[in-house]
Amino acid sequence: MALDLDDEMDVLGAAKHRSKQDERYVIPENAPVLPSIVSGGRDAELMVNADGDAAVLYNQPLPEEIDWVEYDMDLALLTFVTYDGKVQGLGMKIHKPFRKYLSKAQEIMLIYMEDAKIPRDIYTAKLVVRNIGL
Amino acid sequence: MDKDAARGVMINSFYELEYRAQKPTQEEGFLADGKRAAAAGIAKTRALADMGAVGLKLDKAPHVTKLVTDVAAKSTDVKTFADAIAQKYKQDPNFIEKLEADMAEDPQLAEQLQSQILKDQAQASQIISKYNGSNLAELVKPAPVAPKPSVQEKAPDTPSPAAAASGVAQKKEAGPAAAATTTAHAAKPETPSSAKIEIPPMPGGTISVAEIGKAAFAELANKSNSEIADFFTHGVTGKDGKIAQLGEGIAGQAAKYGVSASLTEGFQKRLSTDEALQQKIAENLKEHPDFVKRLAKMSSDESSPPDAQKTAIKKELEHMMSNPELLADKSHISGLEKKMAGGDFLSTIGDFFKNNMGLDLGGMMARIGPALQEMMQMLKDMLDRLFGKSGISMASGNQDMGGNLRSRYELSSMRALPTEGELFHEVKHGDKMVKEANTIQVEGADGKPLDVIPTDGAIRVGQGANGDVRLRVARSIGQDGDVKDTRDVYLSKNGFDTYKAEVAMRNAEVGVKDQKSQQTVHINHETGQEFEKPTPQQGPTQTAAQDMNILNRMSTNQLGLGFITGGYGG
Repeated sequence: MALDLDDEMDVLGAAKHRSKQDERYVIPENAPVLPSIVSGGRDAELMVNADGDAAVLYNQPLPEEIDWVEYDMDLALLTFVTYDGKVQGLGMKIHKPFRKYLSKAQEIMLIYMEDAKIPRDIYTAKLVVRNIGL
Repeated sequence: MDKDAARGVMINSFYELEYRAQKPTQEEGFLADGKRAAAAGIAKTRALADMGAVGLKLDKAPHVTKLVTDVAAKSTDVKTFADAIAQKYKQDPNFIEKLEADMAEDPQLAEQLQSQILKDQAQASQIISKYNGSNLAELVKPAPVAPKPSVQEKAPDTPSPAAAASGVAQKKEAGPAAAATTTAHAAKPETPSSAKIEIPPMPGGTISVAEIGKAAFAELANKSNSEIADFFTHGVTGKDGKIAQLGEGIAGQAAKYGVSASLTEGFQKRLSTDEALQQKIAENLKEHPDFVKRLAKMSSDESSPPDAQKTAIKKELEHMMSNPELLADKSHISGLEKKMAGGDFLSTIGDFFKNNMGLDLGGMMARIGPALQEMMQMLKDMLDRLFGKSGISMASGNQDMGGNLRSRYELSSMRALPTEGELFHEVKHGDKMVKEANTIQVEGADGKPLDVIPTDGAIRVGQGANGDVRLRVARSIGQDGDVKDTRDVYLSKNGFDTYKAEVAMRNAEVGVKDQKSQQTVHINHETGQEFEKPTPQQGPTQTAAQDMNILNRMSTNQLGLGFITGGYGG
């Protein structure tokens, strides 16, 4: 009788998956750091719902387009990585109440609200969640 | 002459015809120069479209294609022949199909035609000119004496001096009898009208094969499903095949949005070299004609989308560039087609962005490709999900961006209702008359009268224990009653009953609807603590944004939500 091992942990498969993702979403070493999103008069708002649908709204354009976003659960940080490989922090600590919901998110909407009122740019960025468990 | 050079000659023939057809001014002067340049630009665009259409027809006419190819291959100059074909096509756009049918039906006749045409290009041009769909046998009969090149008649609006000068007979399409009685006259160098028209060189120089391929592809937007299936039946593989050209077209669009060269080049390379993928894509596209039609429209769309969408479009195109297999994925393309079914999709998304986001996409939605439409839908879906569930929010400032976004999101479900048949009345402001929205007067939560625009689809955001109601209504409206902006007003129980009765009298479809039972937990970004929005008792004109200002000033560490809030920041 053949063994049914479908439910067994696939360590190698998971490692393979991780490595493929890591190739694409790795912050370059010595990446230049841009001022935080919340700085220089720019405000931001983070919204997450119970299903992990997430958005960051900001009232002044960002200096560069965002390629992907990293949520470091250990450090409670949200870091934005630009297409040019620069990093930009949100500038607000991701407090504990967000952990449960934001950790489910796979994408995050980036919405530029002109004068904080009118949406002028909407796009999505991949959200990579890091959690070592410090 | 090779195929590419022959194509160049052919498109030039179309260009000349199209330029003359516009009867451009021959006057001197700066303004006239401008007019001629504009005419040349239009002629080039039309010539490209003509060439694309002819390319599609030849694609389905192997006998005629062979004839044309052979003439080109055995000639050093094909202008006379190209002029004849171009002119004939403008007179009778179906002549290629007719000729193909004749040649396929009678191979012997086809051989005779081939033989005669290859002997003498002028002869070939005459045959093309005289052909009317039923006289091929007569035209290819060996003539006892070679017909003297002449100009018998010419199309009034599309003369070809080059053809005339080289002695090619030209005539309007005529019945068999007319064709049979055509006699040769002495050749005239040029007709009077055409002699006056100097044709400037085609703007932008020569047209590449890829551009012609793109024009042919754009023609598919108006073709039947079976014609589209035919198109992808042959000539699809190879570096010059149809899928390679399609890839080049999509990559060209992507480059306009700033997609990196490495991605577009990689995409193009896959679509021009991976024959297995080319075949799979062709098979998939044959089964999805609606997708092809959308893509065809997109390929000829020179318009630019609103800035607000550019970043998103760029990212979507990057996704496609990174995954060219998506074009061969049946379920992916089927999903797109399903979404677009009935045309409702376009208007729904267009209306959503116009009404909710304040972005008037105009005709853009009808022209952009399905991949981009899918992206628009995806953004809308994400917003639907975001606002459809309870959530948590944290802001660095006090500008209530989340509340403002939500307010815009809700606008499309609201409409102002007229009072005594009118949405507006005029009021004198200084020495000017201005329009103000008509309002009704109801009792506010503070017992004072409150003017409110009666709004179909107003939202009952919440209700306090004493029966007071927080109601979201129109703050400003457009000419047709569309809601531009909302505000939250606080009504007493009596005031709310009055409001409901007023909108019911106006036959409102929705009247008042309840805010979905969602909760928004607001987190103070500095302390990480929740704070609650208290039951508001502000003045009658208090806005959601002002609520938020007050809230931020009043931030406390209270837990729980005693009042159902208007969502994020609302």
